[in-house]
Amino acid sequence: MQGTHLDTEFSQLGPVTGSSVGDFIELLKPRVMSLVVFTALTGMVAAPGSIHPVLGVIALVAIAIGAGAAGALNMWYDADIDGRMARTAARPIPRGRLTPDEALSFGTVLSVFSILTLGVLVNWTAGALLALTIGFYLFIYTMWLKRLTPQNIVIGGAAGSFPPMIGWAAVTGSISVDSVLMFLIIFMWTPPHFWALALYRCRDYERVGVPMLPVVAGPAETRRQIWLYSIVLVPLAMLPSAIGLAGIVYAISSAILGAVFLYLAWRVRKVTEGREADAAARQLFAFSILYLFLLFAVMLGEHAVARWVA
Amino acid sequence: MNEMSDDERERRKRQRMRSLAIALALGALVALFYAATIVRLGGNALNRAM
Repeated sequence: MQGTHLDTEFSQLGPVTGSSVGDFIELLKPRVMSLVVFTALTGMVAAPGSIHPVLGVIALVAIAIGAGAAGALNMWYDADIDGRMARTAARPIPRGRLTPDEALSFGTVLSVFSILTLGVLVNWTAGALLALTIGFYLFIYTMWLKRLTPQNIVIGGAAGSFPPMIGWAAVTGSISVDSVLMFLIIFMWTPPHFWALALYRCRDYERVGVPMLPVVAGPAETRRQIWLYSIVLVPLAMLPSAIGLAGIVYAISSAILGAVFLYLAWRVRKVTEGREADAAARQLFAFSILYLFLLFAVMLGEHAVARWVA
Repeated sequence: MNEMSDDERERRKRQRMRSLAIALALGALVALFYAATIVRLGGNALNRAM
């Protein structure tokens, strides 16, 4: 599989009218970027100490652009399979609105600039973590694991888990148990989230030869693994209140949200046939996004209120 | 008189927008570094020995 992207059928010339600014913005995966910014902001606000607001904004912009750059490099490398999957076929490179070379240059320049900006203007712990995030996403996940093993998103999920640690490091200049816990919550959340999607997008992945778990091990094993990860994730996501990283509102919210998550994961495990099975997987996928968003929103809200009152 | 084709007109428009976006991004970067320098120096900028 490796290297097949070099035999790409996508034109190196691009559209006769040239690429638009919107095409480049699409390369940055704005929706992923917004979740990255949000979790990084939570890490910054939850961290002890303070950062000058100007430096805080610079840190968030650098993290957002770094995450976007990783997305652009991912689209450059995966253009061959993106063009054959319904979910990704409309991306700028498969559609011929951008050349692969443009995406590569754009992603590389933004990666270097975002890392240097974060390192020079904020601190090098945060800069190094951003470099690690981009490198992990591109080299470990996109280039190595994605087309090699069904554990691709388990290990590759680490890339999406770093942003709160980077936000935390931007304020404190260090890594702590608290920021590692935020990392772990996203890390454990990623497999049930993506496998729920893969359950009803199974044929897409199969066609392009990406060994997602439902393709390699079958839907039954995927459902079992979703359940197993969910029963680890839910108690883990309740830990922040226990170690003082979050308060009572978070404790209650994480318990209620966790109960819903477990219910939906259980339904995915039990409803295995027909449209209802697809619907159960779609429900879990949709709720998993809300779940992570609300967990971090409540944590952010608690810390913001505490700072406001203090 | 040479009439510009629609494609050529669109190409030039997109080129102009790309140039504008790059100029704005560079301007933002300069402003970012300027603001960060002022913040990092703080009041010390005026406190150096003459």
